[in-house]
Formats: sequence, C-alpha cells, structure tokens
Amino acid sequence: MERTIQVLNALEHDGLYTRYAIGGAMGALFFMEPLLTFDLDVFVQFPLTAGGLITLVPIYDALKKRGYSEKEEHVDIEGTYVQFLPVHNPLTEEALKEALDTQFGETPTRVFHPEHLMAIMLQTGREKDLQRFAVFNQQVKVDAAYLNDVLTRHVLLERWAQWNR
Amino acid sequence: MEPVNDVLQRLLKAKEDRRKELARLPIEEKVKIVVRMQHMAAPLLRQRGKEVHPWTLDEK
Repeated sequence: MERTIQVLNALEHDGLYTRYAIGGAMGALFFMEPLLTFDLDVFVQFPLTAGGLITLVPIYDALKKRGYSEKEEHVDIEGTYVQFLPVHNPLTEEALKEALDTQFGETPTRVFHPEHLMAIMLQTGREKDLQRFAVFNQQVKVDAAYLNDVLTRHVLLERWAQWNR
Repeated sequence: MEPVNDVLQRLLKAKEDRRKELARLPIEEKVKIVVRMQHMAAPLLRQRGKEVHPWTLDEK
C-alpha cells in the first residue's frame, strides 16, 4: 500500500486535487483492530472551477497515463483498490481540512481524525458503519471534548444520544 | 475447578485484550492482516455473487 500512497501524493503534487486524506474503513484501521474491507477510500478536495462543477475524470485520466486502470468506481493503484470520493458535505470538508499528518512506512500521508471518523460513521448510519462504530468506540481513545464539538457542529448529538441509550 | 462464570470472564477478558493488542499494531502490519482476510473471504463472497478484488502487497 505504500506505493499506492506515493501515487496519491504525486497526484496531489501535480494539482489533480488540492488535498487528500484516507477515510472509511481504512482510515479507521489506523486506530482500531483489523477489519475486512476491500476499498481504500480517499477523500479529495478539488481546485475550484469557474462553473463549480466537480469531475473525477482528470484523476482517472492522469492515472491511466501512469498505467493504472479504472474498474467501475475504483482504480487499481499498485494492487490496492482505491475509491476517490469528493468531500461532499460540511462534515467531510472539515474532516479533510483537519486530517492528521501521519506515515505509512516511510511515506507521508493523511488520515481523518478518529473523532471525524466516528461522526461520519454516525452520519452515514448504514448497518456496517454502526457495527464498525461499536468496535471503534470500544477500542479507540478519543478526545471527548473534540468529539462533542464535531457532533454539535454537524447536528449529530441526537444520533450519539440514541446510540448511547 | 473454577466456576463457569469466572472461566468465561477470563476468556472474554483475554479476547478483549487480544483485540486491543491488534488495534495497537503498526498500520503496516494491520494492512497485511487485512489483505490476508481479503484472500480468505474472497472465495466465499464470490460464491454469493459479490465481485471483490483482494489487494496485492507491495512488500519492500
């Protein structure tokens, strides 16, 4: 996966997106026990365009030039199935903006804060998110004040309260 | 002989400790475990009609 991250860094350097961070199950993996997933979810922020339109085509084209093939909504980058997800709401925008700088092997990368990962799991609310949330909540020590701020800002306190009932 | 409840408590505690230990592994080690899990799960998922793509590891 390190070579995959090197490609993600190169795309950011080349301006295909202004910033990226790992989220989803692989983001959670940085903090919790291993869990089965087949996707590396990469959240990206695009440069602003005049028309305000977002398209992943330039990323796919750049990857194709580097020899990486697109398969449905994924791209196989150095043996890892990557899904690029544009930040799509205030919570994911904030998660990307505040993402943690970290390392994979010797390669720098970014991952969402555990508190943002929790908030996104609550917000998304699919069964698999809530199952992951339960384990994450048991295993990961989070900053309670920071989590409370995130949940308040993104109107998720009620879901959090429902979870705790 | 221990009471059943004590044995169960001890086993559950050991299980929980093991999971926390796994959570503390370096990310590189966790990814290796995930890839092994993918290769184990893929045949079963394919039998159920789900298309999955286990990763290949780029070991240095």
